[in-house]
Amino acid sequence: MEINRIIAIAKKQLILNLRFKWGFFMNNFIFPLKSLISFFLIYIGFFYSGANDIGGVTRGTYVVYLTLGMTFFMIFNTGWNAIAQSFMQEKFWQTIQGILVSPAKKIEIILGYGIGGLMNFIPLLSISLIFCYILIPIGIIKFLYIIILLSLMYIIILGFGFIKAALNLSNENISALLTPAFWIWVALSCFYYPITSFPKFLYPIIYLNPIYHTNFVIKELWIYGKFYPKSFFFLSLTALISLSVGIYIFNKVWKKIGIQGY
Amino acid sequence: MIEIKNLTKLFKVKKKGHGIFGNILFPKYETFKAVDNVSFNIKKGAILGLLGPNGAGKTTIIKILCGLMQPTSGYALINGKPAEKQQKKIGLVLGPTMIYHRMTGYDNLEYYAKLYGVNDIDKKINELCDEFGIKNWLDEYVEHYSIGMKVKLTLIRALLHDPEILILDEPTLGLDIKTSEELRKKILNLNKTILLTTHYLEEAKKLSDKIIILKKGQISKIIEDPKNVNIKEVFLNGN
Repeated sequence: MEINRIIAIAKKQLILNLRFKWGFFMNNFIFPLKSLISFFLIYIGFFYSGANDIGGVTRGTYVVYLTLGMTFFMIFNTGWNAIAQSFMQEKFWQTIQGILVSPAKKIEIILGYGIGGLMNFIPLLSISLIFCYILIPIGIIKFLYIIILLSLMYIIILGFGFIKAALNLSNENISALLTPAFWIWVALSCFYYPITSFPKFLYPIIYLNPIYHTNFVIKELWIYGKFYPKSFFFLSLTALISLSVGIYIFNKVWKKIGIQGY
Repeated sequence: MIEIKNLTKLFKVKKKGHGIFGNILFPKYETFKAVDNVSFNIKKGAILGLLGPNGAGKTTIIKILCGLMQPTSGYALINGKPAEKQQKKIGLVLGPTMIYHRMTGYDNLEYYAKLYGVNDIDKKINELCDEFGIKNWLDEYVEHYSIGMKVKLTLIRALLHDPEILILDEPTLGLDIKTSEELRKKILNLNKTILLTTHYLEEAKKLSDKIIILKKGQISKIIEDPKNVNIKEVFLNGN
């Protein structure tokens, strides 16, 4: 794995994203606030109507809970789309061949596009984390652990995003079918609401979801100070599996079908 | 150096004649042979011209050779190894594609140079761009380049990592006479193994050491000494 290649891809992505700055600003600053504001209004409504606790979320914690939720959703959404949307664009720009015939390894491509995507939301991510820190301060070790877990979550979703990217190049039909799957996954990740919002028979499925797991562990650590060290191993293993599966399926799809639709 | 052996590529294409709804909702497919059992070699340092009408299979062969497409059967080797795993040895030009119009010429070249692990990138970019006459445009967005400049940029992009093999798919398509002639001279002086596809018979004659004429995915004629043959006559009559 060559770091220079990863940085080159990330830099290229950043240059392309910053070509039209207002689009960049709207996508990365305004869009994530949309869901946050909606859920803020819902929670405020509940609390003003007399509720004290919504599935463990209280008047004292809901602001941090929602801000962290927005942060997770931002990471999740970017990871899912960072490679897929870029590949779709590059298919029509006819530049995608450039990277596919280059000696860049698939893992370098994933990390390069991933870091490129990460740079988009780093400003808002930093603001969100600082905001949460002001409301509920935490120690440096806990903070670093949270950053590691967020990075693992991002890698997990990048692996699955790479499958979407392969389908964007090779079969837009099946790629389109992944959109509802993505939204179901978002819903089952409980970014803005507690698991108790769902009927009990769905709990086992939600517990298997590594994104929910990250979400839950980080919120527990930040808000209630509960530490789950085993989560690191679970998420590291899941990240490894996700990357391997993503690369395997990408190679299969790409080699079998190639570029279709342009 | 390059060995193409029994290369065949089948595509699924839509069958016609099922009415509008049949075509859109339940299309039927048939197979189409884009490349049909094609074999040839290119020796080190030689220029091979692939000629043929549109749809003859030229670009499909190139895409297979550089790993953008998998053959249905047969294989493409470079120095005895699968071509798709020899990316560093290949420089590819597919017309004015594979360059980012939203980036400057320099950013494009720097990006590709890093992908290929080129050393002394700045010097290499400046040297090549000086040679091709686009050095003064390097800081400009590619969207403002003329077609000729874009093709030059793609050629520089393909040459940055000093590949052993250059694959040029219709490099002078849509260029004016002066720019085409300038590019042909550059190509002749590159001293590389080159696979060239073109529609221009005179261009193929001038540049190639050997010409293969493709028709409907098959080799219809091999011309070993193109400089002394009336290519137009051979091409049109198939003699």
